[in-house]
Amino acid sequence: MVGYDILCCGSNGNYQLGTGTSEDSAVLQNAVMRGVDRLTTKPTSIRCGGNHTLMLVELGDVFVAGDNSKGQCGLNPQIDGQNCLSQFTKLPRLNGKRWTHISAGWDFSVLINENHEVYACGEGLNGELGLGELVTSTLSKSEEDKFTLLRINLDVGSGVRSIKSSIHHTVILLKSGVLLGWGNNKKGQLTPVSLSKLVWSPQTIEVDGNRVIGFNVCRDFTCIELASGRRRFRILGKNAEELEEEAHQMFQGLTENGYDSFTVHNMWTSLHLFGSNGENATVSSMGNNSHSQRLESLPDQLQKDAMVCSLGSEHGLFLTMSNKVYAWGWGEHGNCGVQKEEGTVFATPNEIYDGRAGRVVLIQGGCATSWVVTQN
Amino acid sequence: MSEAIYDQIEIEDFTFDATTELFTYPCPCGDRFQIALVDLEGGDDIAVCPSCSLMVKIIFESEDLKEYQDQLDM
Repeated sequence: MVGYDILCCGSNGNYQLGTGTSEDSAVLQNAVMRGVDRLTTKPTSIRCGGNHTLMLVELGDVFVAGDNSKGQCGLNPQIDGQNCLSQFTKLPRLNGKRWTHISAGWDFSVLINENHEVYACGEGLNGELGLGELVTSTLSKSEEDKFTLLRINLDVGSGVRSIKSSIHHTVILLKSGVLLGWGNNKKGQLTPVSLSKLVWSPQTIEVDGNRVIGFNVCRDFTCIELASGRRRFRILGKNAEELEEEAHQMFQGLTENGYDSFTVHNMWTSLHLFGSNGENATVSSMGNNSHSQRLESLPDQLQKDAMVCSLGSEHGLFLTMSNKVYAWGWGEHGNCGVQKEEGTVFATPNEIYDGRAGRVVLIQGGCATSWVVTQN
Repeated sequence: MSEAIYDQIEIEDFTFDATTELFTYPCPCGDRFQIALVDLEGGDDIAVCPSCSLMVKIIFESEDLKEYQDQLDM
């Protein structure tokens, strides 16, 4: 029977790798699933908060690991052993309903189930929980309560297409095309700052009737990809006008060079287009480059081979067609693998997985953590 | 080895704890950048992370500190 291994490396001070220890590692380790000998359901999504990790598997179960002191893993930290989860622990379904979407910010998480109910857990001083004015924690006063999940007052109609959280705000794209968000708005990430610096409940994000294809949530801005309109990208937040112009040029540069298909990715402080022209891959980047977050060009070998991209807080990962995983950017905690030179930066992609231990089915960059899920 | 400043962060983005008198802000490593109010009063503007080499420059004017100083006197 097919099984899956969760391999990970990087920052681990709060057991966020779920490996049973709190040591950082520059070499991929096996995460441990509490009470599960072998994971036989395929992980479909991994989301990383500041110090906690959520993993959604097919069939709708969620596993959580790492810091749960604020209840950000959905379980009551007052219950013995649940303040910090050193191994991946199954978060029971609420009323038996399958989880369908997960998202994680600094000290909080958002989960959605098959009934289209949206839940938040953890702590958020800037409206991150979406639970209404001045609700900053979902911790229960009672030790009897099993969960820290509280339901957000949000009707998602026929369902959710995608949900993403930055460290302090969350955006949801509904199947109906409506874009909603809540949390930190100090830079105008969601709505003009003049209206409110903090958005405590889900609020519609205005796109002037344009159809939204996708979106990315950086720390200080939100980037919305539009199907129509004057420009491909709409940016809300800090230096929005300049960033929008830069994104526009990045997009034009890519398409003019024949890279017609692309995906949009972000680190906390930078935005990246990962493009393909059918034969070669390329990456085009804007934003913070203090620690080689921006790849000026792809090495020849990766141009032919890079297939999937996933970014973390300040580093990035590529999965190649030859089943290898490479990392670049800021790698001080081992999240970009073993450093061969002095320093904390990987200016050129470094191999972190050699492809031999199983076929890679999922990669994910986290908060100075890297994740490689293999099928065996 | 001198590391580049990772980013510039406005003081309003920091969380201020009136008990410890520390300003903190998330670091991409998972820990938090920190700087004491007294250091800001003394003109220091670099917050450091206890767990890694990253540093951020804090954007503020000295009059911005008043609202935090007022919290201490309460």
